[in-house]
Amino acid sequence: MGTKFILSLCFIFPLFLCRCSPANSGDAQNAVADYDVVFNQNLSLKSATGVSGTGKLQFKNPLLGINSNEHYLLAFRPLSSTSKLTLHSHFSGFFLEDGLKAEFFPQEGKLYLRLSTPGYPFTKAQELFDLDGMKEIRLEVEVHDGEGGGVRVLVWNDLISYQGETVHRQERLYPGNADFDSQREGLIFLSSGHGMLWGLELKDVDLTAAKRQAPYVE
Amino acid sequence: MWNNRRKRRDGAGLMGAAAFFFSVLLSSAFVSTVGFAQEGFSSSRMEARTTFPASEKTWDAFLTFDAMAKESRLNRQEDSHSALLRSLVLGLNYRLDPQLNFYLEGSAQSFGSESEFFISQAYAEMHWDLLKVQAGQLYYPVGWLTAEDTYFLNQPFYYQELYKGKKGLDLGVVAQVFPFKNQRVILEASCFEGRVFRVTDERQGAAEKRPCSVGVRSHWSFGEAFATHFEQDLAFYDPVTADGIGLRLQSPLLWQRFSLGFWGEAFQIKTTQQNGPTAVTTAGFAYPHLDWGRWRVGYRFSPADTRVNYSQAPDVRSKIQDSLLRAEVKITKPLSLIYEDERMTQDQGIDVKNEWALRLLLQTAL
Repeated sequence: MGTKFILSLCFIFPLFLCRCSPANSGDAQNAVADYDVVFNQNLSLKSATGVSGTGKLQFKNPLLGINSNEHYLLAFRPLSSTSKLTLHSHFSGFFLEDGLKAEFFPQEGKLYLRLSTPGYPFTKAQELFDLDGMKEIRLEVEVHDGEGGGVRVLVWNDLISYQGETVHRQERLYPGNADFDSQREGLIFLSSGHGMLWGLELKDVDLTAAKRQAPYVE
Repeated sequence: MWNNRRKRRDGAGLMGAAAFFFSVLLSSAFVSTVGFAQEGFSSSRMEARTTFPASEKTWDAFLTFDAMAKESRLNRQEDSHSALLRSLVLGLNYRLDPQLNFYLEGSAQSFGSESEFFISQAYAEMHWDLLKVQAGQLYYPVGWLTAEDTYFLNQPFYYQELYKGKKGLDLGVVAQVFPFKNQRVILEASCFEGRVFRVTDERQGAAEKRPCSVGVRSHWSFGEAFATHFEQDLAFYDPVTADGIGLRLQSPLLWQRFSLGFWGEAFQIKTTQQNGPTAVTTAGFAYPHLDWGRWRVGYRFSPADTRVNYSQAPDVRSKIQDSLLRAEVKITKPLSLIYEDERMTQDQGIDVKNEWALRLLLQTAL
């Protein structure tokens, strides 16, 4: 019995030690790295911080599937009062534009969101949060394509400010603390994205981070 | 329904989880009167349900208690969180006569401070020499893991593609024909209601094409196999067609009480979008395992390759690799301690899932 117990410990301890490896450090990479196709001509590449200007980016790496849960980290600085950043999720490319469109734009010190799915117009603009003089907007966006035949979109402001003095990142992400949840808002989408690619449309925007991460919400 | 057990909940920390485990472990060891006899690993609910002793009793019952402390690691260090999940399943089988059974299964689950109770399965089963029919709420007879969703920490990714909105549990009928006397070959057909309830607008929709399957199964003393074809077109979702094969093997005891086993399946799942390209997912899992006495260690490898076909543009292809290490020790005959560690990545090493769990599983007939 004693030998078996020692053998058991010898087996189980290495398994636990396996967990001591550092967590995924993908967050360290903070640039717009893997875009593939650039449409439009007014985009300038800024090696340190990403992409700036007006134009379209289509990313190389495909999504998990046509009906998948995807999580995006987007960070950008608006360069004018008409700045706008549009996320295209689950589309087949800018020629078809057959995916979800999530349009983020600042207005009167607040950030707004409008959504559209294939064949349907944009929803009414939804207020997300006060910008509080933030220079950089950092969003965590989760898209569940095909959920109930439509789409579910969640958005978190990843930079929380305390009265504009100190800024820190969201400690945890879950549906309850999302700044926007289309399901909570009762938004019904009658179509969903048809493709397995994603892209961004920039209008007077300095894009500092754009990448996919593991989904947070089941 | 039952798959809701796999919901992630933010719950107690690891300290609480550890305390809970030790308390359950102690109480289980105390109440258990079963010896340390070398038993095979029939640690699945399905096997428990289908291996009721052929006794004179008209009532059979079994109980499954699954307690799990789980830590999920996501994109940032601060995202790592632990959760404590507990589920209790009570199944009752009533044998009205040798040919007619009724089965009822209720589940209670708790995650953190939330808990719920629901009826997971309820069906009648009629059995003749050449035919068996089950009717009621039951699992789709498609793939090994539909009804076995508790064996692993998570089902492989492609099960979401396979079932879309229904999670493989529905009202329906399953018929099995035994064309040979030895009953080693089973021809199987099933058809389910396929009604979908959409939470967001509380609308229901009937299926355009009900979820139906046809297949053949076979089992021998050292293993079993299946081949199946499945189709469905649910309201709010795109039509799905799937073909799959599966194999399960277990060697006899080899040197020094070691034995080997293999469990695996492969599916091709086709999703035809009404206004978009067709997506074809080729996926499966292979789970070789080594058994020694009361120990089982196995490694599940589950790749998925999805290809979206365009008529006038290059195909787009996405690959997912899912690997899961599972170690189980039977503390007593009905009680197991299980450690599982899963990591799922996509192309370019993007983490899709990264979590581990320590589980205590009690499965016993009452």
